[in-house]
Amino acid sequence: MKLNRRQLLQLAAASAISQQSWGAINTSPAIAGMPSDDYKAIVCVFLLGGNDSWNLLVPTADEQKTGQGKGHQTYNKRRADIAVKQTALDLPLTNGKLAIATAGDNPYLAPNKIANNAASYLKGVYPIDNHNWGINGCAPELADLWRNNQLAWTVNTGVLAQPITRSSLTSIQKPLFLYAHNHQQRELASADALQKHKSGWAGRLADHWQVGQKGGINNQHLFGLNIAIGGSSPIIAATKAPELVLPAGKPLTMAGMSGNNPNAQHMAEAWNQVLNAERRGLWQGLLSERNQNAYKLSAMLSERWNSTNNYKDISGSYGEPLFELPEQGILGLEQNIGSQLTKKLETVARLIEIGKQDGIKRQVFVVTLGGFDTHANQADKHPLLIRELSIALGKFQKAMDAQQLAEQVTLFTQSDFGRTLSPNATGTDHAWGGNQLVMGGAVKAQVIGQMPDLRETSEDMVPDPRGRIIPTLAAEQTTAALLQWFGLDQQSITEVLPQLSYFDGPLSLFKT
Amino acid sequence: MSSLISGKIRTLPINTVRIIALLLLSAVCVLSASASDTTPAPIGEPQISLLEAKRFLARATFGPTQADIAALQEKGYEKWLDEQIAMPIQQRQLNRTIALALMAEPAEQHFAANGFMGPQNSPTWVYQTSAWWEAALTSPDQLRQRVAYALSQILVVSTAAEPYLRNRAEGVAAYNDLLLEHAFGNYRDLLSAITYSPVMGVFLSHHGNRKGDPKKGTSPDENYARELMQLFSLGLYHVNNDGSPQLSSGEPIPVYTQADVMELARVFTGWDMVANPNFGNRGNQTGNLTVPMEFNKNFHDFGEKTLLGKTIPANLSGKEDVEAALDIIFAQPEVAVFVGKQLIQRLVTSNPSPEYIARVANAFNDNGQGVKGDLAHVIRTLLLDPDAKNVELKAQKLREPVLVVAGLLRALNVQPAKPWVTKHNGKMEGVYWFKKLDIGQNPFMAPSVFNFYEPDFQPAGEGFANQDLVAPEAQLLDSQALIGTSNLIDFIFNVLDTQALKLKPEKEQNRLAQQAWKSSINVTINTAPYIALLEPTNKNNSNKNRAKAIKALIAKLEQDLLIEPLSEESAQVIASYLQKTKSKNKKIEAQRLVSDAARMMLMAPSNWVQR
Repeated sequence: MKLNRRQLLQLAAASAISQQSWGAINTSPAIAGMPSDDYKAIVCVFLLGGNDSWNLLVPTADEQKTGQGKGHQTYNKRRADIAVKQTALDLPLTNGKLAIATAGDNPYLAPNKIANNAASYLKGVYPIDNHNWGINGCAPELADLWRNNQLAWTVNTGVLAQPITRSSLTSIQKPLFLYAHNHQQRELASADALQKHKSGWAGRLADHWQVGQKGGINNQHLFGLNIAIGGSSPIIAATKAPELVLPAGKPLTMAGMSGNNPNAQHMAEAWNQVLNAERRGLWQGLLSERNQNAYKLSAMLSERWNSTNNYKDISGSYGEPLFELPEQGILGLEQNIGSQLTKKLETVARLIEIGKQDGIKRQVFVVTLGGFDTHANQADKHPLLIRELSIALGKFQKAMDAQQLAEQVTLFTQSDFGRTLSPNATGTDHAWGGNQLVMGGAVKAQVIGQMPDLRETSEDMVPDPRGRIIPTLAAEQTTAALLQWFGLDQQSITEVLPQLSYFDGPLSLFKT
Repeated sequence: MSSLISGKIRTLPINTVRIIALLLLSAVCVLSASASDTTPAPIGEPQISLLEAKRFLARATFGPTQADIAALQEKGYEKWLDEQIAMPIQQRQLNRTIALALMAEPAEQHFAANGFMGPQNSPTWVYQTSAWWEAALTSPDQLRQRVAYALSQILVVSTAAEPYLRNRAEGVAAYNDLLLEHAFGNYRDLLSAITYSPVMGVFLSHHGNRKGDPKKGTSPDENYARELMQLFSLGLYHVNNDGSPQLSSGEPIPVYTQADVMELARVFTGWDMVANPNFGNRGNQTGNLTVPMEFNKNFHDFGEKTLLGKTIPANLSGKEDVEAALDIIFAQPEVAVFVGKQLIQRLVTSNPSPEYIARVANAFNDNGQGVKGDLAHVIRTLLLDPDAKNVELKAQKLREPVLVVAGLLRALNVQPAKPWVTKHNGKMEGVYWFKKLDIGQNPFMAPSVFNFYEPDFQPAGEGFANQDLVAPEAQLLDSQALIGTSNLIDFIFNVLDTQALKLKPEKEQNRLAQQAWKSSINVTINTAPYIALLEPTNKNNSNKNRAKAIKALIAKLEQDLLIEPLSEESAQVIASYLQKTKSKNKKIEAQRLVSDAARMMLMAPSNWVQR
């Protein structure tokens, strides 16, 4: 039987026998830190624009217990019109599950029962960690995840070159170009506050594991190690390893060149030959390669997309099909939330399923959610973003639970920076330290890090009336913990995260 | 054929090159009999070859047409540029946006006391986008339109990143008019214009910005203050005139501090849309987005400010305060390099040499009459620079999807869509209809103020890093942009082509017409001249005769649609594919051959590398 290229591709994908020898992956690893255990994935949700995370995880401690500046009194004073209240909200549980049947059930619903974003945003919190902290009322799914022991928080984390406080700000190396979106994003992506590396941390991991080469991890699967969803990401930039960018949702197929009919195959063949002929020089070569990969992946995924779980039998907090948005109005907010993050995480869930079917060992996904640069009208906009984040993350965890992958998939957030404690007229401006979350079945519910002193003159503050908080945890400490969980040995971790040695090492995020 | 000659061009003396180019040009003319006559160039100026003309027009316009090529060859570079610079704006975006809104929704109320606002929930962004494409595709002031597009990628506003602007896109059209007005004016005036623009005000939130309130503990919004310096004028660090960073202990030296940002934020307080009921309000039916913002003293910080080491005295008027701040920023030496280099990158090359940057920066700093910021002089200098004109075969930059699509449609002499009636009973006639194209990029729809790509983006991997090259456009050319553009080209040739439509039964034609105006693009092309080249095979479809016709087709498509010659190998692959692609219906076959050949040639990587 003579198989054409497309049939070969199908066969390879379906039977997990890719072009290279399958056996290599079971032999003892030749590469340091090459894992031999079962599937694991890391999902990075990057909140573009600088999330005001002091209003997502709210300091609610009583300062009489925690000390001056380290609780809700100072928080409340400094945040002025955008301070979230300490009021404890109840999670609406039915049979131990988060279930919201009507708009009236939303614990954050505005007091007068009329949808009002600002009122919902500031109404109160779900207390955690002995009431020292509270999760914003607009994020009931996150509170539910905490309750299920699937969510941890890292407090006052961000980009750091070295440990630093107010009195050492002028003597110790600071990250380059603080407060500039693009540079803080780059420094998080490269895990290098001094920008000596252009590659991203996930890209370096892929290089370390020799992704794309014989004997490298994931057996030269088309997926490689890293996939950015919805647009390129500096996090996955590698020196040698392939990078993959896929859209949210099913990828486009090439019109007239897809499917089984002979005309389409004939043209696809010719197009591939054109790309081979044009693979000359740096610039054309880049485009030839991208076009060829685009075609291969689109052919493979259009074939396999519909065979992945559609989760029709599982529902979200409002009883809606898992990867659909709740119906308009039931959220009790003035506008519906965006669908972007839910769609991207649905895509991740499907790619995880395909990757696992194909015997892939490790995957890293990068997804973004934009809109967090809330300089104006924050009380109208930020609650919608928090609601979108909470709903999407709740859905994704349910999908992983259903696939029995809860303990093998860990999701975490990053964002350009935290925002100023003190608002401008209706929003907040660029700052530094913020709070981030880590989610998954392997994660232990806990709050890691120190509550900063929020008073204007404290050691935790940049000397500036706006309230820009100096981080105490480096972002790499979270990433390092994830890499450790991924099976990377200590030396390899420091290769991937060269600045880690300045800090206390990986955080203890996981259940043991 | 042409590729063979140009492949050797590099090694020949320059005069020989010109002679060969002339020969090549006349050969092509004879072959296709469609290129316009080449009027001799003015005495003393060497004739511009077809390839040189195409390359120059790829930088200076939205894509060469036969007429452009002839005009450039007749006038020479300098005269062509002078005429383009002298030509007044030929198509304003706001006027056209309003006309399209009235045409599409004739019974709706479009005007309030303070001018056009579009009916509630009207998709003004579609009218604005259509107006943009129409000008890019047809307006004779191509250089101005192209420079305005380049400026729109530096002084970014976006209906994608600020949803409020989607249904108030008349403001975006007016903003584009500002870019057109100042494209050959002074950059300092342009900075004023965008600062008072309500669209920029909404996008970077200095609209409605208030002085600090010590009782409440609030401060002015820092957004516009920061991005104005970082992205619109200075960049982040001190640079030399050739673009290289100045270093201190190996590290770049910041141009401004956080204190400067906070001081400048105080300057941009007290500005509001005209006809807004409450200060800073953003209503769907209130406020005028098409005229400059107005000053409201109640919300302005009148105190003294210190910016970049200079003092702005207390109690200036709102406008004096802004102008004083812009003067201080504009006086910084960084502006010339920062703006000049990005204009080079948008029009000519991703990796200008230090000398090229310095020449353009010098032109920015002094137009020869002691004036800084003269954009006409800057554009003229950067397009006439030896580094721009003598690039020969070296890759300069990647073409972006918008320019590939615009170039294709211009080369095909695109015409308005066939008339149709909207659901509001509006008759759409003479319209180039564009919504959001699925090509990874749409004008005025960048994901953020950081544009579609950053000017220093380097594709990962060793190749670009080892040669220290950047390729900004590579940041957006992902699988979806590439497949999306390929599919759009397929759609243009199979649904929007008069010849393709003629082949369908009437019912099908109506269905396709429906599909066309509901889809993201509706215009008309006519591939008759290409289909005609396959006519000889109707009588004699012998392999030899067919091969000859196909060769002629590829040659003509190459001449009309591509900037760079197609490589011999690619031409052979495509020819051999076409040779084997047969259909029982000869007309259907001819249409398909044209469509498939054009699509593969346009998507070939060589067509995406600007040289």
